Amino acid sequence: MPSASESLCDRVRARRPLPLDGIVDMHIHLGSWAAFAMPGNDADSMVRQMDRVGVAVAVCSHQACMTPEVAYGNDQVLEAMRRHPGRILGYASAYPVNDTLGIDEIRRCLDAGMVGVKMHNANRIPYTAERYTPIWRLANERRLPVLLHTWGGLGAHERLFEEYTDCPILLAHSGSTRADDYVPWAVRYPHVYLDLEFSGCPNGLVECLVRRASAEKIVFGSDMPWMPLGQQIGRVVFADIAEEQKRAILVDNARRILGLAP
Amino acid sequence: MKLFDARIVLGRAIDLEPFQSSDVESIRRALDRYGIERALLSSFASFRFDVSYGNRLTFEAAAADPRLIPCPAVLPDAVGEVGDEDALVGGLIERGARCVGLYPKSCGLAADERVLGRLLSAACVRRLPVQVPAGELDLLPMAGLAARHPDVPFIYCPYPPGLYRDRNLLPVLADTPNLHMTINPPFGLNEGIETICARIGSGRLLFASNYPIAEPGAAIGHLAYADIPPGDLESIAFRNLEGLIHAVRL
Repeated sequence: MPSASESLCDRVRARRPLPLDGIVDMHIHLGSWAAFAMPGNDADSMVRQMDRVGVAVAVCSHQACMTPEVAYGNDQVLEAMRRHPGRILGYASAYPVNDTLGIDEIRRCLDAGMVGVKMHNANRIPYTAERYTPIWRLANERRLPVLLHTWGGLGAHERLFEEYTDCPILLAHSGSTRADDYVPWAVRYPHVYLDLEFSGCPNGLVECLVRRASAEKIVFGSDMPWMPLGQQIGRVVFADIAEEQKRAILVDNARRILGLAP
Repeated sequence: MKLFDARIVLGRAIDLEPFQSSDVESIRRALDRYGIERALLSSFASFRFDVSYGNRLTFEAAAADPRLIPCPAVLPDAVGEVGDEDALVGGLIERGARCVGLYPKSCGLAADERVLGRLLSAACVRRLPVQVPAGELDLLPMAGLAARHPDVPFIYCPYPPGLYRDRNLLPVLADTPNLHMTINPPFGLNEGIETICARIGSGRLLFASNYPIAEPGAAIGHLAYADIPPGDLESIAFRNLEGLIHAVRL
C-alpha cells in the first residue's frame, strides 16, 4: 500500500502499479481488427499491461462481437478465461439472426462461465430489435451486466432501460458525443451506468460526469487494445475528484455489478 | 517525471464542451497540478478566428509565466497579409517563439510549395520547429511537406477524430527523419510507444497533453506505463523537445 502522502498520481509518475486492490476494467477486447493496427491484442499481452498498471480483472469481448463471427470470437474469449483464470472474465456476444447465433450462443457462453453480455450495433442490428429480446430477458433474469456500444443517440434505447431494470446496463464511450447526451440516463435509471472509455479523453469530462451523475454510477473501461490501458486509466487517476471517488470508479462499482468480493 | 509539453492551447473552441477551455490561470494551475515544467503555448483564436489577434493572446499569456513558450500560428505572405516571411519568422523568434503552428485546413492552405515554400524555407534558415495538428493535414501530405524541407523539424499532433493507429504511421515516420509526433490523445495505437521506440527509436516522439482539449493525465499515464527503458521515457518526456528548442537559431 502507498504511504498516506503518496497519491495515485504519484504512483503513475513513479511508473508503479496502482495500489488499489481489485481494479476492474469493464471493457476490453480480444483479437485483431482489419482496419487498424493493434499490437498486443492477445490475452497474454493484455494481462502484462494489466500487471504494469495494477488492474486485477478485465471483462473481455472479442472483436468478433461486431461481426457475424461471434462463435469464433466467444471461443477465443473462453480460451483467454481458461488461460488467465480470475484475470480475464468474459462477455458473451451474439449475432441474433437466428437462435443458433443468438440466444443459444449466449446460453452456451454463460454456461461456460461468462459473466455478462456485450452488444455492438456495428452488426447493424439495433439493440431494440425483436431478435435481441430473448437475450435481454435472459440477462435481466440472471441480473447480468449488459455492455452497450454507444455513441450518443440513447433515446432510441430508452424502452430497454425501462423494461430491463434488473440487469446493470453499461453505456460504453460515455460522453463521446456530449456529456448531456449521457448524464440524464444514468441519473434517471438506477441500473444504467456510464462506462468511461473514450479515445478523445476530453479534459474535464470525468469531473463533469462525477459531479452530475455521481461516482457511484461510473465504471472504468479502457477498450484495450483499441486504446492503451495506461492512457485511459490516466484520465481517471489524474481527474480532479476525490480519491474515494476514483476508488468507486476503478474498483467498487464494477465489483458490485459483477458480484465480486469487495 | 520531468515533462516538457509540446502542446497546450489557450482559450475555447465552439466544437468542444464548455469545460474544455482554458485561460492563463487555469493553464498555470494545470502546469502545477500535472508537474509540467515547460510547455509550448498556442491559442485557439489564432487558427479558429484571427491569426494576429490569437498570436497576441499567445504572447501575452506566455509573458505571464516563464514556463510557457509561445507557439504562434503562421501564414505565408500569399496575399500580402504578413510581409516578408524571413522577417516574420525572425520577429516571432525575437519575441520568444521557439516553435510555430501551421494550420492548413483552418487557414485555407494547401501543402504545396507554391503556397508554403517561402515560409518553410524561412523556418529552415532558423531551424524553427513547425507544429501541425493532425486534423489540419493528413499524414501523407504532412510527410511530403517534411520531405521537401528536411531541415525543418515538424511536430505532428494527433487530434480527434483520427486515432493514429493506421498502418501507414510507422513506415511514414521511419522514412521521414524530421517528422516528430506527439503522444497526446487520441493517439490510440496500443503498445504504440513501445512499438515506435523499438522500430524507429524514441527520438521521434514528444510528450504533449493537448490541454484543455484532452485530460493531461491520459498522456502522462500512457507514457508512464509504456514498457520502455527510463532513457527512452526521458527522451519522450522532455529531452527531444528540449533538443529541438535549443537548436533554434536565435
